Amino acid sequence: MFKAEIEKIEHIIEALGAHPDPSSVGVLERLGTNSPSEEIRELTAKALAQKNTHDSLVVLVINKGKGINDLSPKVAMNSVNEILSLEDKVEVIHILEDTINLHSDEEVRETARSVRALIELS
Amino acid sequence: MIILTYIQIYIFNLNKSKGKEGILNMDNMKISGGLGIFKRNKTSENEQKEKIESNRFSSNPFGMTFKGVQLHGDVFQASSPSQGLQSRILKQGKMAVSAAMATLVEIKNIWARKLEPVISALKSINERTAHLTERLSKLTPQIIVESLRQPAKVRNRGISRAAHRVLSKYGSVDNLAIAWQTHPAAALA
Repeated sequence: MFKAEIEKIEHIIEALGAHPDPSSVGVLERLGTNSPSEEIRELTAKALAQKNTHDSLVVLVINKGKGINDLSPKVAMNSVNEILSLEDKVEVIHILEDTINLHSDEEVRETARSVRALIELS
Repeated sequence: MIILTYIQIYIFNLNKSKGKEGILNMDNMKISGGLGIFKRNKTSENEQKEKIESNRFSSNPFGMTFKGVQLHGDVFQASSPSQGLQSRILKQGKMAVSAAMATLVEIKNIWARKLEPVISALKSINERTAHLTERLSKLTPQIIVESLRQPAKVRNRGISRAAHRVLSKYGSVDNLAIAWQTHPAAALA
């Protein structure tokens, strides 16, 4: 993927991240988190984290293969870093605790537990 | 009447060159004039060395060991005509020992001052490492490994000008989605 193309996608993703319309989360999840490109998934995770809404954080935390559970360690750690850099972590902590207690998948619970610990330690 | 006196003269020689910590050499000398000629033979020299070795940990400054520096000296024994010489040599010997001791203490202090900040830094690193190890032990292995690879990122507080332009150009979420999908890269989705 060429640099110019990446830049255009980056601007669009960033614009969606700043868009007040709640349906922008759906677009980011549909087009961004499912992209074969790691770079686009990273940018999408960043935009979702910066939105810092319940719906955007849920996409990052509870979905296997997306956000902090992405199969690519680079994308997963990027998502974790974005969550750790949030100023207001109230909503993400709430979602993480629910995931730890209620999610059906052991790996997702384990990852949520690790991120929760990281938040406490940071 | 001249009384020939059997004189044993031991010379106390201090070699203090740089790099050598108080290595001292014995020097044997022939002394003549008035009191007869003294020639040291090897047997007496060995006897003297044994005597010195036995006095190593005594308070006798000539048989004293100071922090690994062995001071070999010979006991000066003479009759009364050489008392002045004896006292001079004893004094010089003591002064030489004192100077050596002072030098070694000074060297030790200098190195202690130089090494103190290094030791403090190492202690601090040890403490921080132990604290970090304790924290990391609570995390899963995958997170630990990847967290070490990834640098910390700083969140962008604002939105870039380019994103602002895109947002103002396309306005709605639907238009943005279309713009994304119509882009060649979006065909990969």
